[in-house]
Amino acid sequence: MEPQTNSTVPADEEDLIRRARENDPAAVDQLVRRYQKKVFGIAYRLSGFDPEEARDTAQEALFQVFRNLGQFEGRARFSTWLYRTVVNTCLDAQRRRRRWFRMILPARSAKRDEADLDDPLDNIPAPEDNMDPVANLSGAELKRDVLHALRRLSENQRTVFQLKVFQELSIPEIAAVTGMAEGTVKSHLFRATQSVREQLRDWVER
Amino acid sequence: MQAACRNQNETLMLDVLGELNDTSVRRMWEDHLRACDGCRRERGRMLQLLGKVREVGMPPELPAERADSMAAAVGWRLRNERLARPEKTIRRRIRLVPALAAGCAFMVIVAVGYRLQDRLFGPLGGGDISVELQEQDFEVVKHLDLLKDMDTIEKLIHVVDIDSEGQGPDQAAPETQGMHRDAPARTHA
Repeated sequence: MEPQTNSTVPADEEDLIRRARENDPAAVDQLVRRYQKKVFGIAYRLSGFDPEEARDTAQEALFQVFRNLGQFEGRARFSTWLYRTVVNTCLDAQRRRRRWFRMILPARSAKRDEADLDDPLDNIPAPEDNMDPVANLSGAELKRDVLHALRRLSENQRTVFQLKVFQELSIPEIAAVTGMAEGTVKSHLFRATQSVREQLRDWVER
Repeated sequence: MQAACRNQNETLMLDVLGELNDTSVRRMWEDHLRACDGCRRERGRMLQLLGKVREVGMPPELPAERADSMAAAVGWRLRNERLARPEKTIRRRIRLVPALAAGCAFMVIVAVGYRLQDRLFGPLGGGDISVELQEQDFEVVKHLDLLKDMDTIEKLIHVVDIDSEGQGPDQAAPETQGMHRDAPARTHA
């Protein structure tokens, strides 16, 4: 499980946060290295499994985290606060990207969306000698269908579902990260899981 | 094949998502699973599905050099911003002070100019003259009919005065010539 679930911040982390607040570059560097994989993971999933975009978004999210470190009051866990900032940065980046495409290239963006959803060959990785081509193709199809299923969800449902399934956060943790009520999180999670189940029913029977 | 029980949908979802925390509900659900083939199968399918989704969502490994460059970029941006912050404040102050001074100077000039206007232009103040003229014009227009009547009366008086003084019609005003012709005829009669 990726997030910290213990109630207290480790002593060394507390010290690192304090030093990072005082603009100690070594402490910032240590904290960035400690969390960058997790942040990259969230960004990768929230950016539609695009590694390049995920790297840029993760970098921006980490910058925002340490830029606003003064706002961290220590009431919530550092990981929860960090997740909230990262999720918000990723969602903002996605919204900006969508707006940009819609405004500048409306026709192209529509085609791009269709292509993302309809062309299973787009996401197939380069063939390697030791890889089974059938498994490779099947993996690409599954990825395409999962992406398709996730895109059919509302933004809130998708965020909640991804935080649950990929980050394995509990419902109260998701509520703290997203700022939603626990009941709302539960409802979004329930609907999202049902929708994904329906969209991927062919994969379940196999 | 038996289908999953509809009334157990929520419990099934909570179970596969690892959120079935209530012990009594969990025990009842486990009892139900032992008895219900449909729910047991659906649970298996859901777990399989979520496993596949998780598999697809596994991020690729972040290469060490990329991780290094990301950490360096974040540090560099933070340092730059911290260095830029006081500069920005100073620059803002530098820009603000002359702007405020210019604004104050402008207001002083306007106030002094307004005060001096009366002294410089005195009674010739263009604004007052135009107001007076407008008022006079208005009075004239308002009493135009009366003035015309007065003018006619004045002319009649003038004609009567000429007649009574015994002056010839040649000295009368051209407008009253007809009246002068008639006047001697009436006298003669």
